[in-house]
Amino acid sequence: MNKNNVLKYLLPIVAIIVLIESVILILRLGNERTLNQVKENAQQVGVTNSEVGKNPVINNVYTFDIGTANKNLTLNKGGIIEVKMKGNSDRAVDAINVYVKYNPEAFEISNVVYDPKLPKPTFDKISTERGLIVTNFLIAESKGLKINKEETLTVMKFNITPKTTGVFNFEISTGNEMKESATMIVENATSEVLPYSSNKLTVNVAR
Amino acid sequence: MNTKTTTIIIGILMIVALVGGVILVNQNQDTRRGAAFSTSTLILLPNSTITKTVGENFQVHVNYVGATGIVTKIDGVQTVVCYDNSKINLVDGETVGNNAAGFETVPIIAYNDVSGKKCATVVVNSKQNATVLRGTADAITLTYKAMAAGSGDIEMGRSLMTGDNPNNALDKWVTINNTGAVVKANYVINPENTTMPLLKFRMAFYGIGASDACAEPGRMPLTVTVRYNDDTNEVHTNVIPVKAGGTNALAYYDASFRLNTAKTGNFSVFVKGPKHLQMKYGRDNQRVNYEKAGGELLTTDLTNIADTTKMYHFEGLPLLTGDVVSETDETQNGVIDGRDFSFVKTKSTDRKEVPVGGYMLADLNGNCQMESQDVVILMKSLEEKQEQLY
Repeated sequence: MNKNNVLKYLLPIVAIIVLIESVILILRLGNERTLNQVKENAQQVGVTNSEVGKNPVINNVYTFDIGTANKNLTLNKGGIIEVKMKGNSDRAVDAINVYVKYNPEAFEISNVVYDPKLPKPTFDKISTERGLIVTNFLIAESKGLKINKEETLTVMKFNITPKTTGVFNFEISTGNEMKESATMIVENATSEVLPYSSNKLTVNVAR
Repeated sequence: MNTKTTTIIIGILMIVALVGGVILVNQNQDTRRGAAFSTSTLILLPNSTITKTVGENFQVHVNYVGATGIVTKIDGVQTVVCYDNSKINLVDGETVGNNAAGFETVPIIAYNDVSGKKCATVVVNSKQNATVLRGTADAITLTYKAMAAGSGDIEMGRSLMTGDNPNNALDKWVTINNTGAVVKANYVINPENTTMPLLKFRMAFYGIGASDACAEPGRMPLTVTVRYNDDTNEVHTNVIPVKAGGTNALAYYDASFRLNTAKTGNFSVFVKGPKHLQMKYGRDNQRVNYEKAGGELLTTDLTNIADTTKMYHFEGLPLLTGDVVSETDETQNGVIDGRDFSFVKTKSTDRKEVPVGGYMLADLNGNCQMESQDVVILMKSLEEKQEQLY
């Protein structure tokens, strides 16, 4: 093979190799930065798993259910209402602050009791002034209170005695009227407020 | 294929390869030129003119803001701030690193004089894990005292930043891109209007005793709102109290400042601390929550002379403590709730200690260490507040 042939075939090969290497390196740099940005952004928005691509925070970690055996009451016959909280995933919590709205002119509330798994409330009160049943559980244990998936706690159970006839609601307060009355469940270690869903219980009171 | 065509093709390929190589080299140079794996901005806040009266203190924050879409966790800031120290001066011991963003509370500071101005070189670093660090936060808080009337700038000079690089522990430099950013803080110092009435009061913070060494007045700036019975009010921020003795159970702090107007009639005073709920004081020697509208404090009891204006006593109803975090970050939101409890409890398990004069947001009793007592104080404050509300 003479010198001209070497040049004729070798130079293009070298040029092509350099060209391909340049393109690959440029593309690689771009991908690296994009991946870093995605990871950082994922951390910024509070993705609980450190690797990008896994599922983010599950919606409605807890479900509140306000229920009663009999929604149709009479003036001389009261009832019992239970506020239950069900876990939709395995979590540990540091605080369960529950505020239940009711009509104090329609009902007298009494005999509030709590699930034995829960600690003694830091604060609990039936506020006729605000129309709220207030219960604040603050968990002192460093690892919080573990509530497993499908586990249900009766956060509170209380007696209601109707004072007047009509149709009345019991519902979880979200703090729209007063921010201090926002029902809130706070996760252990992260101190994140966990999302929940809740229903509204409607009770009929007749003569 | 003939020789001429081959030569042309080779030439084109060589030119393309050359261009590609030049682009690649330039990209690498861009990275190396800033010696940075990321970019941030370093600014001074507030970005509006600070207006104070002679004798008052004010704060300026060295703040970093990550570039859009990039969150680089900053773990070191070095900056130089220069100012006319005949008009304003840094208060000794009151320049602090932002512990909430992971920085050590006590910075390194060196002073020198440059072209007739005082310049302070301030360095803050973090010893914390990257999970505590932030992409956007205050790095340093500078507390100045207004010395003389006049106006000027606090100017930030050349600065350096480092951050946590998850891809290369040895490449920590962060480029500071301050194009268009505010690197000066403007101030106007008004002469003290000695004809205006002086308001003086003694107060206390729940859980903080006289011997607690991490509850220095400079770390406990108050926001005080004076509300007159004609429904007008005036707000005084960054009111720095003075320690005034007390007991091991409760330290007393005295605060005073000149009112903006010389009104007549009754008034009430709302006081809020940096980790505390706002409390209304409507009468002297108040010991229970004041639940009425208006107030019973009298403007006729106030004079423009410190020795003769009345000293109100509010220490019998200490500020409730525990308002430390909000929905989004470690700022106050006006309530003590489960979020604050969880934050303080988590911090208390660290058992972290800081030197005397230091500061930790969750150190509610100001004794320089995180412990279960901080949690108890929060729980008691929450209980007291709930009793007031419901």
